[in-house]
Amino acid sequence: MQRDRINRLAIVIILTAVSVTTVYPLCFVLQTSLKSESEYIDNPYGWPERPTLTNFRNVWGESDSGNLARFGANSMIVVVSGVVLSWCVCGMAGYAFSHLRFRGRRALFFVVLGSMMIAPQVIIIPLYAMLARIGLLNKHIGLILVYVTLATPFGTYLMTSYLRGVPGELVEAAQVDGANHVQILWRVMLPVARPALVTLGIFNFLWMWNELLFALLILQEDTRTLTVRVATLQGEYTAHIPHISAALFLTALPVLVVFLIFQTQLTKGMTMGAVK
Amino acid sequence: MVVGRSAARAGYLFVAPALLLVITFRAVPAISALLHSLTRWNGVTPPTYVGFANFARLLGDGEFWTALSHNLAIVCTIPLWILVSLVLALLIHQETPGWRFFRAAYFLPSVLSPVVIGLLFSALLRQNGPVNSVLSAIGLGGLATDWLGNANTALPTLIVIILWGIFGHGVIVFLAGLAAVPKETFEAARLDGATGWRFLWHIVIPSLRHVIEFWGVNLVVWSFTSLFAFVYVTTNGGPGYSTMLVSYQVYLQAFEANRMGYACAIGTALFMMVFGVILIQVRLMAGKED
Repeated sequence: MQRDRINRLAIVIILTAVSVTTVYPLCFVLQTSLKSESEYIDNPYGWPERPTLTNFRNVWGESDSGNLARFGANSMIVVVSGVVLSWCVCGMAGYAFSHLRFRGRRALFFVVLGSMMIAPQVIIIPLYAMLARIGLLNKHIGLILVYVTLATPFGTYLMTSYLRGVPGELVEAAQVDGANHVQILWRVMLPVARPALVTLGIFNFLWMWNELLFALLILQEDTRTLTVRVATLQGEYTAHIPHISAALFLTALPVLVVFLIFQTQLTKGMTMGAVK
Repeated sequence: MVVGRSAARAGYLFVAPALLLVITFRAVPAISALLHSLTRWNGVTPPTYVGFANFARLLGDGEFWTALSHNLAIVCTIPLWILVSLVLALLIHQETPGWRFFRAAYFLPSVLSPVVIGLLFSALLRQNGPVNSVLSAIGLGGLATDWLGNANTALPTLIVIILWGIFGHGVIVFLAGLAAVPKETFEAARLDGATGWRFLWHIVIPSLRHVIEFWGVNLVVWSFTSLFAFVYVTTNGGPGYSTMLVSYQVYLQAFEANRMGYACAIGTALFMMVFGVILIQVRLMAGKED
């Protein structure tokens, strides 16, 4: 009994120590972002005595040291369009692969899923050249199409396996009522598939918001996303840690909000395929 | 399954966007990369065919082998990543007080961008940053160094940063796995007196074999293909060449040195190296279907 209690205590101590390493860095960012540069030098680790929003104002507004409002808006345009388009593309494909019979269905499913095998690094160079040729370089739509493409194999897989669980009678009943396939997709399938759509949407939001490589190459100057802008900030204010902290906090904020709201759905999605 | 002409027509119509995207922006560029790996190409003037010259050059390129050795060093640490996640999941799984908080706290880094994680740790690990201050405060000031700026510590430090970013995802995966193991399995083992490492090795690992396999394969693929952003914001492959990875080298050759043909060859080589592992990954995922 005594040993058991010591064991439990040891476990809590280990778990707490690890959680400090994950939570503290974010606290450090928040603390630092609220300090003036001089206060950061005097008191690098505690909470600020005279909290200030100057850093946020500096990196957010129209200035050389950030202008993050503009880049945040770019990110929102890209990510929201990417999420919505991916819903459409994967929802349609999922319905077709799960409920409609057509020649080559299995083969086409394999093509969509199999494209996952092509690592993004491999295609980046020809893709860049191709986008340049068709005039989509440095345009948001170019990046959006690439993102939706990257999201398609997993999204199609997710929607297909979810919609497979929807009984065929539901489709037949709708057909008897005279609905065509577009109507069935829109009024029967997508409402039923809401949990899968939520999972897909959260997923896509997170990785699209966080992505660097494609965004870095496809967009330049004023069209860049927030993540790219922040990644290239470091050289510009190497020593100004409070500025960097404010920028990092703003970049992380949307994903932290999504994390807090949708933790359950996220957990479910992230373990898909792990347990048979 | 709906049959008939209208169903077939709708079927093709509905899979068309997905197919079109995947072919245009993924399959075609992949074939194009393969073809361009056989050319000298600067991205501006038309490529010229050079046969396997790029691959021959690759074999003798010391920088490539150095980068590859770093990739392999990372792969060698993956069992440790798995172990960390597994042990933490096991500790949480016993419904230790506060387990919900711990689960959320560990998961937190997984939603952050590598860009945020990398810059965050660059700030924490500076010569006069918090980590070194803590070391000095507890009398280990001798260990303090510019962690990412010192050629001896940069790669191990980078690996720890990457582990920080991913271990929570592993915890979540293993928790899902543990939830699927019948309670009796563990209880019986406990009654038989299995504790500590023996419990982990003989009971837990065998019952989670498939989950560990799944997560391990994912990590290997991920380590080859998804570390670009970490390197980009922390070390740029330096100091010297000490944190250069193959995927970062592809980027440098293509977009800094304008050797697009050669970069395609490196990319193709990278692809061939991970292809086998990716195949297993897709099998594990698709296997669930049948």
